This record gives sequence, structure tokens and C-alpha cells, in this order.
Amino acid sequence: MKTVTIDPITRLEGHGKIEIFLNEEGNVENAYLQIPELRGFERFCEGRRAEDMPIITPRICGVCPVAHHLAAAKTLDAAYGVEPTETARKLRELMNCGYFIYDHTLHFYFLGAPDFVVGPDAPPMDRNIFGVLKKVGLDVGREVIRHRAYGQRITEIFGGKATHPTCGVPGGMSKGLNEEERQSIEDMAGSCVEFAKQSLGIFDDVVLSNQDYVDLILSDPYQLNTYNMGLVDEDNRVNFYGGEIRVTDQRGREHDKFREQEYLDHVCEHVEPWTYSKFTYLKDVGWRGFTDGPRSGIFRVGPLGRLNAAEGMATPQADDEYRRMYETLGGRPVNSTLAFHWARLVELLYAAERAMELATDPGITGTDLRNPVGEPGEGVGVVEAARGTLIHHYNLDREGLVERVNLIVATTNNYADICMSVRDAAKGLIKGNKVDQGLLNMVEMAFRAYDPCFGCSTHSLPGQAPLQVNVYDAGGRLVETVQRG
Amino acid sequence: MKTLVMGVGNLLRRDDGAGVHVVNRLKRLAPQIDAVDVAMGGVEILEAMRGYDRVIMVDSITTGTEPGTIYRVNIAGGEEAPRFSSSHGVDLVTTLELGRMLMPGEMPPEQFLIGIEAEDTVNFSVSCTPRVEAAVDRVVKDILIFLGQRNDFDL
Repeated sequence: MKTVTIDPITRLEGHGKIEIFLNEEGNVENAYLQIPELRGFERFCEGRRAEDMPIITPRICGVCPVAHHLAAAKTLDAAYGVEPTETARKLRELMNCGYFIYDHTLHFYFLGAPDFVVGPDAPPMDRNIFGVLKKVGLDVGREVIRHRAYGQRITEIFGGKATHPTCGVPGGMSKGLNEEERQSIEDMAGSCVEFAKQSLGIFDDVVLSNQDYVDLILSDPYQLNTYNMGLVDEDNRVNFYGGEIRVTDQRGREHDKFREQEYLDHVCEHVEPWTYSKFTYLKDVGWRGFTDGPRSGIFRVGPLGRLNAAEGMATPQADDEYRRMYETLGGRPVNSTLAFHWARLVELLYAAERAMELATDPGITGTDLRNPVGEPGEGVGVVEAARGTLIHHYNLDREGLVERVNLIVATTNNYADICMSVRDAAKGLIKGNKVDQGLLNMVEMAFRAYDPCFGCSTHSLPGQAPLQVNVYDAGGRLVETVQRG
Repeated sequence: MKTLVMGVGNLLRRDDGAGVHVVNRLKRLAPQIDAVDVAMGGVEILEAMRGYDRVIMVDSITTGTEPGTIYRVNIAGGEEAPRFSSSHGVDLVTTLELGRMLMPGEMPPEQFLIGIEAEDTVNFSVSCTPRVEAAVDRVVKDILIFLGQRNDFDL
């Protein structure tokens, strides 16, 4: 058996490694994605004060700080038996919208678009943000930078610093909005609505008008028929901050719907010997290995998972785009992994429109920011992170110190799906020992669509080449090394 | 000359937080210096740098040499700059190139990177390993002297 290793994966949030196992004929036998474990984080938190959790957890990883902050705040609400005030709930949701705006913008233009806008067969050195700018123009580039910064500034108005927010406290928020801040958010959100529409326009012009790309999106190796999961409001429309967790099946019908506190009754974690990270699956369906279909409890989260798990978007323009996406791709659910990119843009528009709604809500500058807390205990908090459903679960002792922590991050929820998508893409694209860089990039495309983050990402500057491929023979000997970059 | 010191890194991941430790130390010792913790770096550093004449970025680095080794690199040159690839999607050189392309005239003409060779960026801790800790002290001192601040400080 030969092993093909793609390491590190270019244009990803954090470190990862894809290992592709070939059989004697040189065809793909299996593929695994290895994620470095979140070693010791739970222990690091034990014994700390409960109110430190919203400060500490955003530093797990710099990619989803706001989502971790809000999940922690919601978990503390539950652990202290307190409902946040109406104003606080709106402020938190608005803050999450700001984070979705900057995160989705960054992913689409910097990480996802190089594959589509520049083209999957373009030379690796052009398949980056500069290649994208060459195609769409520098003015669009300036708009990208400007609106990414707007999203970040919206979160900063609440949190002090976008990457290390401090505003969420059990029972509410430590800081409200004044009229000047509200006006500034309204202006930025309005501009982001136009920017999101412009981005969908670019997707139309560059991707959807090219039949090859549409065929690629709909092609077999990029299909995965799993369950889908996401938070929905009372009308089953996508919500990033609260509501109930809804699961739909392979035909788009509701399979399950539950409150966040009940997640342990519905979601289980499976362990594999080759990775420290766990795999989540639906408890009532069960774990059947790395396989899709109605008998396998594997589900998808993130932009496409959320859209599939819902019946629409709660804002008018995003809802139109939602319907257009499903009409174009053959109805709900869409099981094409590469449709994550389109779903992400629909969500970008929703985040901007929802931010606009909240910023113009007459109650948003209210001063009822916090309700008094009860006694410390156990709590679960769930929010949607850009990458998917994020679950925090704490046990507090009587002094309000952290006794036990369990975090299920979005990438864990998508972990089994990512491994399967990589395997299927590899099966379709690597045959008879033929491993060239174009093919490997197609494998990476499957992976990148999920925008996986590795919780334990660090930021040291490594000096190696951006991509290295090692080929091992059946005996585990290195027979070939291909380097990219 | 208006100078900004930027610390990049994750404070919880031991030596990965070296750049942030430098910034926090500077803020305490010399509050008059503009110093920011930009955490994971990325495109937001362009916003932070806007309008400055000089930027000094401090980050941890893993090249396999002796932990605590300090690298000082002039990165204003563009193509001649070493191609560090960051672990975070958009790497530093890409980001700076983007700044020059999209915001010409607004990027600091002088750009320096100070890299501190890390020993442990895997475990969760808010303190650095001893050799990296010593390097943090040295870098703080160097920056204070470089910026013409006091040189009699007690670290």
C-alpha cells in the first residue's frame, strides 16, 4: 500500500494533514484527515472562575473568538439559571452578525475563491488572493478589506477587541450601545448588505455562468448524503444565535429538533485510534463507520448544513438568494460539498441584513443589560459559529469555579464528513498511482469547502514550503516527495 | 516618526504568545508607545498599521534552531522578504503585499519583523519556556532602546 501525504494544507485555518492510502493498484483505498488535538484545554480551564470562561475560550483559536465568547456567555446563563434581558439577547446576536460578516468575507475571497474565481486548474502560484484580484479588480479588493474591517468593527463596538471580547456576562452584557455607536453600525451594516449582493454577483458571473464549474459542483465525488444540523428560529429559518437545534434527513425532512440543553440526549462522540479528535454522530441513528445515507448518524454543520437544516432565511433578500440556490442546484437538500461556498455567501447577506434589522430595532439602545444571576450549577450553551454548530458545556461548583468543561467545536461536528469528502474526491481524482498537483488540489478543494479550523491553532511562523507530498510504499518507505511552492 | 509595535500570537499557547508578552510588557513600561496585540494576525493587521511611519511586528517563529534565538528582519522590501508561511490562512508576506497593492501610500514605509524562536507552542500555558522568556525580556529592552525610550528600566 502507498501513502500520499498532503502536509501542510495550503490556505487553511490552522494545521492539518491529509493522508491518502493507496492500494497495490495505486487507487485510493482510504483517506484520513488528522487534526492536532486540543490537548489539555479542558484541564487548563478547571478551577478557574466561571466568569473567566468567556475571556479564555475565545483564545482557544483566533478564528472563531466571538462564537466562543457568546457560547461561553450562554453557557453561563444556563449554569446560573438566568435568562439574559431582551436587549442583551439582541446585542449578542448583532455581535455574532458582525463576526459572520468578517469571517465569511475572509473565507470566500481569500480561501475559497482562489479555487473558483482563478480556477481549479490554474497554476498553484496564481491560485491565491492575488489571482482573485487580477480577475475581479483591485477595487473589489479594497471593498473586501473595507467590509471585512466593518464586520470586525461591529464586534469591537461591543467587545472592546474583536479577537478578545469581554462584554458577555452571565445574565446579559456588560455594555450597551449608545446612539452614536448604533448609527455607526447601521451605516456599516447597510454597506455590508450591498457588498454581500456584489459578492453573490461575482459568484454568478464567475462561477455559475461557467458550466464547467457548475458541473464540478454537482459532480459525484463532491456529493455526500448526510443528515444536516443547525440552529433555527420558531419558523425553521436559519438563526446564528439561538432557537432550537434542527436536524433534517437526506430528503430534507425534519428528523429531529431539540433544545440546546438536550444535546447529550441526541449527539454522541465516536473515537478512532488514529486521531485524538472525536467524531460526532446522531445518537438515535448510530455510528456505522465512514459512510453516508440514512442509516449513518453522520451529519453536516456549517453554511450548507445550516441552510439544509432550515426552510429559509429570516431576512428578505437572503431568503430570495436561498431559494435561488436551491432552484439552481435541484432542490433542498443540496448535498454537493462545493455548494458550501455559495451557502456562505447567502449567509453573508443574511448576516448583513440581520445586523441592519437589529441596528435599527428601537430597543437596541435599551439599558436593561443584565438580569441577576442565580446559584451556579451545570449549563450548556449553543451558538452557530461561521463553521457550524458550537457547543459549550460546563459544570460549576458552589463557589462558581469551573469543575468540568466539554467543548464540541464546529470542525468536530464536520470531522467525519471532511474525511469522507476527501476520500471521495481522491477516489475520483487519483487513479493508478497518478498523483499530480492539479489532482491534489481538487482533493484539497473538498476539504477547504468546510473551512475547517483546528481548535488548537497557533501562530508561530514556520519556514517550510507551503505544500509537501510524501509517497510511501506498502512497507512504509518514502519513495517520492513532491513539493509545492 | 510614528511607530507601531504589533504582537502576534496566542497568549494561551505558551511560547506562541511571545509577541503578545512583548506588547503587554511594553504597554506597562512605556505606555506612550503605540503597541497592540493583534492575536492571530491576518488581514486585520493592515487596518492597525494604517497611517504609521514604521511598524515593528513581534511573533514567535519555529525554524528548528535554539529556542530563544531572536531574528530581526527588514520586511519592507517586498519580494526580497523571506517567504514565511503563517499557520493561519493568510500569511504575513501575502498580507503586506496586499497592503501595498490595495492601500498604496497608507502602509508604513518601514516594516520590521522580530521573530523569537519558540520551544513549545502546543501546551496550554500563559507563561513562556525559560529561554523564550529571556528572549522576550531582550526584545522588550531592544525595542525601548530603539525607540529612544529610557534605558535604565527594570524589567
